[in-house]
Amino acid sequence: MVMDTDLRARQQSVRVLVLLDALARAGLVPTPAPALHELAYLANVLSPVFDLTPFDAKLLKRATGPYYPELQLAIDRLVGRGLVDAMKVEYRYLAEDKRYRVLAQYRLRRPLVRAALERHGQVFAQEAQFLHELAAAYSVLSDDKLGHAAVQDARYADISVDVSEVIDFGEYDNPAKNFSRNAAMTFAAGRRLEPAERLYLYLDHLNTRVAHG
Amino acid sequence: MAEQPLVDQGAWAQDEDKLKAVVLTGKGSDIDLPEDLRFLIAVRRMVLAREREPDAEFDCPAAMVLVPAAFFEASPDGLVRRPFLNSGNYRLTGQVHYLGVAATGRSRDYAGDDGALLDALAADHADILPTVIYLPKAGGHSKLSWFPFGVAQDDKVQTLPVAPEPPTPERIRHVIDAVYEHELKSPDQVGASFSLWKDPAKGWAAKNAEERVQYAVRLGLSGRFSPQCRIKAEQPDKDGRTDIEIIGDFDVAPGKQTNFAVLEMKVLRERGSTGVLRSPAQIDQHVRDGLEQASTYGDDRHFEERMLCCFDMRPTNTGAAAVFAAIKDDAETLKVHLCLWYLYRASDDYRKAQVAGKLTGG
Repeated sequence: MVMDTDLRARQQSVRVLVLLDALARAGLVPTPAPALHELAYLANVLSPVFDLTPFDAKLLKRATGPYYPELQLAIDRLVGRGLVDAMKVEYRYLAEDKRYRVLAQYRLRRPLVRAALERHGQVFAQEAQFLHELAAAYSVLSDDKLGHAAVQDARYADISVDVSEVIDFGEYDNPAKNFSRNAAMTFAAGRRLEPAERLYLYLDHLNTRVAHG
Repeated sequence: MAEQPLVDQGAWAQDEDKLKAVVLTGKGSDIDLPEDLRFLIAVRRMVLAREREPDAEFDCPAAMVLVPAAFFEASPDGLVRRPFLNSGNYRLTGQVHYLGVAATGRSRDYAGDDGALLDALAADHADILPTVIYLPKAGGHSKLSWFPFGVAQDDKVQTLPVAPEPPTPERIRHVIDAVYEHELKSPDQVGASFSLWKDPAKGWAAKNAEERVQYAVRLGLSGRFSPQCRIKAEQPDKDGRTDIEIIGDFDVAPGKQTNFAVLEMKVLRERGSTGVLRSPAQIDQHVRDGLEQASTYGDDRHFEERMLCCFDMRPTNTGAAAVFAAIKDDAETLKVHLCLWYLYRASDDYRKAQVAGKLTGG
């Protein structure tokens, strides 16, 4: 069990590094924490479009958008180890959580993580490509929408799950309830699209929905 | 991967008809291409989107630079993130744009003439990064100057039009001519890993020579036609698997796509990768098979044009008239364009052929 916990923690750390790298490639750096959590969520719901398994197929629904406590712990550890820079650090009371949280923007210390990212890109090429494309598609969101767009996401916004309940799209529940994946596969009915095309179309549509409330 | 959508789109269920009828943008359709080519295509698409707007500017150049993630992490002062740059609604000219492969990133204005633009790139240490200089001119005459190794190496520049060009057989042939001249003509033009020859001295073709030719041609066609066209390879159907398809389905209403052209590629080799000799009759049959494939794919999949593109690796260049003599009439009847390129085994052979051609007035 200890081994599993350690492995999961290491996987979370790698996940953070890869997400930050993908965001940096798209010019979204330094990355606000809500945007990092949001991209992690979108990566989870949309990974089946690339025939990948979600890293995490459940999360607690919050009114303000996705937040993964384990992911934040991994970020904090990476900051502590000096692999990630934390900038514009604030200690802010969040009414929804009824507690103070550290909010910051994050940036890789690239010289220290370059080799790890290159190795990850070699071993998990498809996952790396998926995250690069997803981050590029995500970068169409304006600064004020970063971290706050997923509340309009096909799965996140579905009214079958209330705030403070668990959204499950494959952890214990049926993966067919991954409505985001279903929506992405609905684009251009009858046409054979590249998986990455569906990501861009999905984020464009999400952006439109956010713009129109 | 299953393409059939599942039924429940959750919170987007009300949008189902919109999702099904979405206009394709082309973004993400080319992720198997090299990064610099994808960037060039994305920039051309972005410029086209801007020039379609009635308030498009044609006043001064702009630079679009493909930068690595590290550039954004320590980016020069004054850069502003421009998430809507690709929408066509915002000025591109008079600015330097530092972008990722999908043409999203950060921008800033520059002041002054063309020299000031180049100075700005040098000041940002960006003059050695792949760059497109956008040279706007009203009336559909804008150009893109592509510096794959940065503006500091201006001897490597290529110029492309911004305005889309329909992929006619003449233009397709022109693109393949360029690919042939720069990459295929003789083994010395490419590294061993991409060579079409297993052993050029013995005339042994590489096992996957056809695949390599197809890839090189696909890259060339993508660079020229991708902003408005999808260049697909190896598309399966009941009649077989096409080599290259050129389909116009970006920025058009759903159901309004144009199937411009299907290309059947054939490599004519006297000896394969194990040295086994192929008879002239076998090679003639290979050419005829190509004609039949091009015709059938064209008919079944409703292509406007169908082309048989042959790459001759045999020891003697007998020319198109001889190679296609047996199928010429049938090709006319079937409306298949016949094209031939001769692949030399060594630069020395090419030079000798050039000199012989001059001496005989050819």
